[in-house]
Amino acid sequence: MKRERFHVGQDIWEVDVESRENRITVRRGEDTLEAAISGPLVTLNGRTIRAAQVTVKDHTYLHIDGHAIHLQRSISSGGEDAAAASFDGKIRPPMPGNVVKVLVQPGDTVTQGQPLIIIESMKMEHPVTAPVEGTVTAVNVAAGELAELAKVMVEMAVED
Amino acid sequence: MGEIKKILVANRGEIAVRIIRAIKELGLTSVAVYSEADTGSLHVLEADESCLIGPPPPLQSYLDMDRIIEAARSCGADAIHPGYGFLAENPAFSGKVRDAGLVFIGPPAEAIRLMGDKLEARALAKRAGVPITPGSDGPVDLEHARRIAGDIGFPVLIKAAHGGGGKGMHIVRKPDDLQEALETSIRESSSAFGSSTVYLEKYLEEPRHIEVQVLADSHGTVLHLFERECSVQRRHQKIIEETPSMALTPELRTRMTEAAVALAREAGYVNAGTVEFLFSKGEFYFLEMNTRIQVEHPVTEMVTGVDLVKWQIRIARGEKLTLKQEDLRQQGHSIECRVYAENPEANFLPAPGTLHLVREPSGPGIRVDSGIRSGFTVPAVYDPILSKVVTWAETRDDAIDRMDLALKEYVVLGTPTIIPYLRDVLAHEVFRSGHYDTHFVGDHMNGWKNEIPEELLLLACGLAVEGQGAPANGSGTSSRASGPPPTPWQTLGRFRLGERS
Repeated sequence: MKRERFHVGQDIWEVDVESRENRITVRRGEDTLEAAISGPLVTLNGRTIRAAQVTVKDHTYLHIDGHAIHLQRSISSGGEDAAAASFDGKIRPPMPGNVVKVLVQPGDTVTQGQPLIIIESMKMEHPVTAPVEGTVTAVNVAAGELAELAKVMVEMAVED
Repeated sequence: MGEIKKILVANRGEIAVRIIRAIKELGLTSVAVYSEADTGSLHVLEADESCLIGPPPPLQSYLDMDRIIEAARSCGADAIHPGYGFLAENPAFSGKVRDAGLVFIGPPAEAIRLMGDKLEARALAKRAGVPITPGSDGPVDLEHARRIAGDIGFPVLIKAAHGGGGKGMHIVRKPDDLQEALETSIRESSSAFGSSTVYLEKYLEEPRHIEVQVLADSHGTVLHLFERECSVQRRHQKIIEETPSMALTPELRTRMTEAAVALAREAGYVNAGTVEFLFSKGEFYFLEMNTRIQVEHPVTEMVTGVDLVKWQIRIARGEKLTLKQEDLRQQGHSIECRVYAENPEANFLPAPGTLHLVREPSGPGIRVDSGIRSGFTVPAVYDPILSKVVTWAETRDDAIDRMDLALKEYVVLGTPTIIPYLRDVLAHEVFRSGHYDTHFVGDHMNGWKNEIPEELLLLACGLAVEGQGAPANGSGTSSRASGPPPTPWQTLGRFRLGERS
């Protein structure tokens, strides 16, 4: 049996998975699901559906019965506040773009969801928000600069 | 008009691929241009030749007129096809192309300039006897706007004469709001279009957006290829189009298509173009003319059997239209769904990123005009359209059902797309009824959520865990991208990319 945690939308799911030959059993809390797998076909409750999947690092993208599903393996030990537990204090852009506006400076205290930076991507402006409450310790970008995916734009200290 | 042997396509993505295919089918040589963000893009792979034109920002690549003309010269192209967007409706560009001794595959520069000025276009429509919305004949100031609004009645619409895409456009529902809306519109128009000219027209309730495709050759023949209904829009951008329109009676269709032909004649129009109308309460009004091939042109091709892009090229090389109006028919029904890399749950936030797996639907009556492939990274700097799924069937219901199945089978993994949203629009009873207007998305799809059955999420967790135990597949993204798409058999629970051991 394998135990794994996934980010499913806003939630974190802990699942136990057991596999015997071509059958898998998935348990989450009270819920149990059994399925038979045969290549791209999965039989679930007597209904056969199609599935495809691709895994890139901690992300698994699946296409099951016409639904695109994105799962991210949760690496945190999982406290009450999943966002705070997995947050490393570094804010990176959610997509590459151009920095339009910087809304905070070092020393500012920010609340969860507060916009920090506005970036422009695909002709639209998007706010980059604080994932948790905390204090801004560094701002590494200025308006007009390119926001690349790996770039740490803002650093934050999280209060206990 | 000289002989055309080699055509440079000044565009990217699905439309560039579509045009390249037409060029190849005509036995001509195609040249793709690309920015550094598009090095491995499908249009580059499909073209016979390709030419790097600059860094990712559009102003330094796809919008750089001199660079593109220079590319055409250096590769020996005799013509340029602009596609849609970018430089397609820029009269300066078509002028420069012709000055360089190249053929511009599109209308004369004067027709582009004329239709780019909304007020001149309105005046032209009036001369051609085409109905226009009640409103001002020219630019308005506050006094003028008050008087006209008083005459035609509120609500009214303030629009930028050189605008587009909803920018600078404001609805005014009562006299007190007129001044502020006018000032805002002038400010927005000045900054976005470099022109402070605004005008005023009646705001139509329950409007439908219906347009007519025209084809005109340089020998005086002007044909129409019927209408397209484009009322399913978000942010003033179409996402689903169909033909025939459920709103038109045969009599209205005749009047609307005749109006479109009259307008194209009056403008001295040559090549493919689209006359857009607003339709409200049984009447239609000229909106604007688009002087290019449209995104949604495939639905017209499906019901008429006419290849519009090939005709664009033939007309540009001086050929006569051999089609006859009386032979053209709308056979069956066709629908197009635009697939964007956007998150519809987050106000259609663009979602650029890498597409790890792409598998297109196929089958009778299904056409996919695509600009993507597995392993392709959708750049952040361009419009997030990935592809268009088009279906044809004998009846509208059959075409919708076929579309739903095609979208269900369309695998695009790696970034969010609007596929699930499109499927819910198709399933909506108001869309199904055919009685919808341009407010459909705002009225019926607000607060939309992507509902995935819990048991499928649980199954997904199980499959993801099972996949982890499998050995990493050494083939990486690049080899998969250039070869045939992997079968589900290969990918289910076995495929891992970007894994370092």
